Formats: sequence, structure tokens, C-alpha cells
Amino acid sequence: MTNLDKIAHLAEKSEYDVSTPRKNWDEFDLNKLEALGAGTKHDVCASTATPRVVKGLQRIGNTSRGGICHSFTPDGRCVSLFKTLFTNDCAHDCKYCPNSDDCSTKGKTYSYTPKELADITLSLYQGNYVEGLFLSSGTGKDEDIIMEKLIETARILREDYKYEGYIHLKILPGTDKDYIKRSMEHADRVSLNIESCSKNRFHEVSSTKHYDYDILRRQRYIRDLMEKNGLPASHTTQTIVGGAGENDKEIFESMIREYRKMDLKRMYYSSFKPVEGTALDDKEEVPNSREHRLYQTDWLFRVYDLKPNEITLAFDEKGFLPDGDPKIEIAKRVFDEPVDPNEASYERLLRVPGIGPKSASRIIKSREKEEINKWSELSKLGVVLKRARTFLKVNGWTHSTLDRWSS
Amino acid sequence: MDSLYIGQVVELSLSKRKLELLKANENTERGDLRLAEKIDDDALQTARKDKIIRIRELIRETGREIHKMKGFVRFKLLGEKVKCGYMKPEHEVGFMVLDWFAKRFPGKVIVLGNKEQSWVSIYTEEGVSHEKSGSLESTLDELGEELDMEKKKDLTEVWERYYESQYSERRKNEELFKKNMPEKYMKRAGNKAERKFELQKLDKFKS
Repeated sequence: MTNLDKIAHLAEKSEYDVSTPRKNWDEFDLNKLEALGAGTKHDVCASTATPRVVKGLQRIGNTSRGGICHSFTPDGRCVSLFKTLFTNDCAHDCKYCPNSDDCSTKGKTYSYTPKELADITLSLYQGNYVEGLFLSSGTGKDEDIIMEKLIETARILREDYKYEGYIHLKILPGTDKDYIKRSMEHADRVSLNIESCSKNRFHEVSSTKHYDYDILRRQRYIRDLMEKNGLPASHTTQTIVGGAGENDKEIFESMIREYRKMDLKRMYYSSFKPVEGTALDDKEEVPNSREHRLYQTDWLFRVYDLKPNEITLAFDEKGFLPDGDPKIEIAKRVFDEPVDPNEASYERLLRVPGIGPKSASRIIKSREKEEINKWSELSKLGVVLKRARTFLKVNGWTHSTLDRWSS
Repeated sequence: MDSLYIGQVVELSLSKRKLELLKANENTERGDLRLAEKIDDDALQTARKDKIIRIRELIRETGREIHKMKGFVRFKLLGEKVKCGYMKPEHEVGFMVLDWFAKRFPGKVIVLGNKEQSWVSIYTEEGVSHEKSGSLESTLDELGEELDMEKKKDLTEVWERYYESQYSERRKNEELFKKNMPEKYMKRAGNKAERKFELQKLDKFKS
């Protein structure tokens, strides 16, 4: 018996009790797939990493601690999940949204059934096209009825198909607490989009949703349920940048509130793009660079552990971030003299542009063995000299162009 | 942890995983392996010497190929038991990729390969069993003698429509796309849908 025969024999023997989904896709409505897929193209779900550990053999799939991108669209964004709406039918009037009840160019209304959606998710997962499901939806006439269907989709996947891959469920604004609890029993991650940075700004883009009641109260439910029952990959939110005329500082302040009060894992930012037929279709597009700068400040707070009052040094007097790396703007104001990598603490190194947590740790470990005497040695430890050089001093040498250091 | 005593010979070595990655890289030379025996993970991370940095890069490159293959290869289902797809890695990472998929789909025979070689893996109560074999075609022929492998309609069309629905013209960023999804890996994992869409867009741009 060859090894291939042995493998075939093992496969014959293994009768794991796992149901298989629909096999025939000939009559499947691809227009529906496209319309409901496109409805989530502005939703960001950057990570599929989850600490949930999967065991046993009676299952399909598992999870990845690091997260996996299965493709990238030509805009450079990762495609990791089957990201779709359950329905594009929505009773709300959000002024930026193509699925809004008020949108004059709103196309045909489509909906999946939970079984149909579970089938297509599992088939794409089995083909290794996706790492799991990201399920959002319009609210239909009643958000609780739609939420029930989202939960049923997840239930079919988990219980009927023994699917153990990643699931991210959107919580619809205003959803009853019991539905939130049930969603969290199946999902790795849930999220509820705050869409705007404050109550006043929110009501400029939607008159049918209540910021405190429909959004913040539901986020508190998620936070409290998570504390009690756990949720593998925690919860997240997303906000539109510039949709209601807010400046970067307003968004930054809401970011800090969200992280501190809601125990949020991540906040995502999506710069406003006008959609034809919506109430805001004549409003100017917000450049992607604003979104990028906000992600950088988010990173400084969350990963580099900079204090909010340090980060606010990067904002101009109108509350906007300048068109450059915020860390450089902060460093220009924080450092009185060039930093010596042989002397500086980890925290001080981390504040130097071009040095991240990994390279700061490497510098500290490396200098314990031997002093750093050359710029090229820093480069080998992962420091980006193009950004860092101005703020460092190596072997007595500086490359500073800052006036106060060159005198 | 036991404490060290004076005169004790301390054996430094890279973690098992890092050594596997180094050995799997096509560009690793004997000198690299000899040097790798004298350093540990910490020395690798904090290295300033070019020879050690080279080892770090070789390990990183192999790890990157494994990560990309885990994301980019696609499977067709043959019957209830077999999942097969195209893969032509640059480095010797076949089993590292295959065994990972086998654990994701217990009881299924995972087959990945190309015209020259193929890898087969399965995960059952007995653990992982795997085998390297000839061309993908001949391996499937051989397995077909043992297993029902009726070809099923694959999801290429469904995937293509979905993939296109996620693209936002206003966010077009070809530089970032090429950085994240280099042509090299698309070819090695056989990503036809992405390459087709990219070429269509280039044609539109030229016309």
C-alpha cells in the first residue's frame, strides 16, 4: 500500500458528522450577491485575528491568531471576510447612505434567507476564498426582526454545519438587549457603528436614529455582556470622517471616549464619499489622507501608549491634523534635544519617529551587549532613519535641522 | 527554570520553527545553517551583523510565502472527501501549508500542487499524515482510484462577482495593491480572478 493509498483509506474511514451545504449554484442570483456585497464596501473589518482555540474533529474550519487576508481589491484593501448585507431594505434616512429610504437612486431591494447566506458563506470558506463572515444589514421595517435573521444565519453555521471559522456580526441600531446577547453567543466579534463623533453631529446625518438611545446605550450593553460572558475578539465601531462637517480633533476625542468608556478593541475610520441620489450627494469628498492621519493617532494612543494630551499637540488651531505624520509633529514639540539611543528609556525611544515598539525593544536589548556607534546599526535594528535621523544623536553626531538644536 | 552553573556549556539555538523556515528557503546556504546553530532567537532579533541579518531575512521570506499561500490558494471540491488546488511555491513550504489546511478541514484530503509536484495531507484521529508526490494530475488520478471524486461546479463566478463588488474606484491605489498582492504570489497561488480584474482595469486605462 502506497502512502497515497493510506491517505485515501484514512479519508474513507473518517466519517465526521458534518452537514454539507448547497452544491448547485447555477440558479443563484449573482445580482443579489453583487448588490448586497457592494452595500458593505465602506465597512472596514481589518482583522480576523481571534484568540478562540478550536479543538476536536467534528467540525469545519478553525480560526487564526494572526488573521489572514485572502485577497486585496485594486484599492489595496484586504478581502478577508465574506462581507455582505442581509438585506438592503432600510427604514432609516441616513443622508450619506445609498440604502437610505430617502435615496433617489436606490436600486432594487434584495434579501437573503438565513439558510442561503449560511450556504454561500460555507462554500466560499471551503474554497478558501474567505476567512469567515462579516454580516451587516439594513434594518428593514423592524431592526429586531432582521437581527433575528442575522442570528439565525450564524446559528445555522455554528450548529447545523459545525462551522468554527470567524464570524463578525453587526448589531443594528436600537436592537433589543436579548438579541445582542444571542448575537454574542455565536460571534467572534460584534460591532455597532457610531457613524459620527457626537450627538449633535450625528443628528446632522440621520433624523431617524437616536445617538444616545440607539447607539451608545447598545454599546454599553455589549460592553457589559462582554465583561460577563466574554467575546473572543471583542467589539469595534466605525465612524465617517467629515460626513457631518466634524474636524479631526472632534473625532479624536470621540476615539478616546470610545476606547476608555466602551472597552473597545478597535475604532475604524472611513472618509466621507458622496453617493449620487443621497441627501449629501453635492457635498465635497473627504480625502483619504484624513482617514490615514486619524489611524496614525489611533495607533499612537492604542499601541504606542501616548497620552491624549501629547497627541493633541499634533492638531492645528482649527482642530485638523496637518498633512504629515502626526508623530513627527508631536516629536518636534516634545524633544528639547536629540535622543541618544544608548541612554534613552523605552518610552522615550518610542516617541522618536521611525522607531516602533519592535525596534525600540531591539535597541535596548542590543545596547546591553554593545554600544550603538553607527547610524547603519540603527537601520539594521529596524529604525527608519529617514524619519528618525533628525531626532537622534549617535556617537555625538546629529543630523538635526531643527533650529533650536543646531545653535 | 534550572539555574546555570559556572562552566556549564549553554547551547544556543533558534526555535524549532525558525530553523524549519530557514531550512525551507531555497536560498539558504550551508554557512547560514552552521551560523544558525550558534545563535538564539534573541540574537537573531537584535543582530547588527550582516550574516545574521541575512538569516533573519531568509526566515522572514519563507514565513511570508507560507502566509500568502494560506490566504491566496483556492480549492475545488472533488466529491465529499477531496479538496484540491494549484500551488507552486518558491521555497520548500509544501507541507507547512498543507498540514495547516488539513487541520482546518479534518477528514478531508487536501491536495495542492502543479505540473511538477504535489503535496497531500489529511488530519484524523491519528494526527496528520502527509505525502509529497508527482504532478497534481497524476496524484489526483491515483487518489481517484480509491475515492469518489466527482467534480463539482466551483465558485469562481460567484467569487469574481463578489470580489468586484468590494472595489471602490474612489479609493483606487494600485501601488498598495501591488505591495499587498504581488504578481509573484498571485502566479504561485493561481489567483486568476484578481489578475483578470487587474488586467481589465489596465485595458480601460490604456483605451
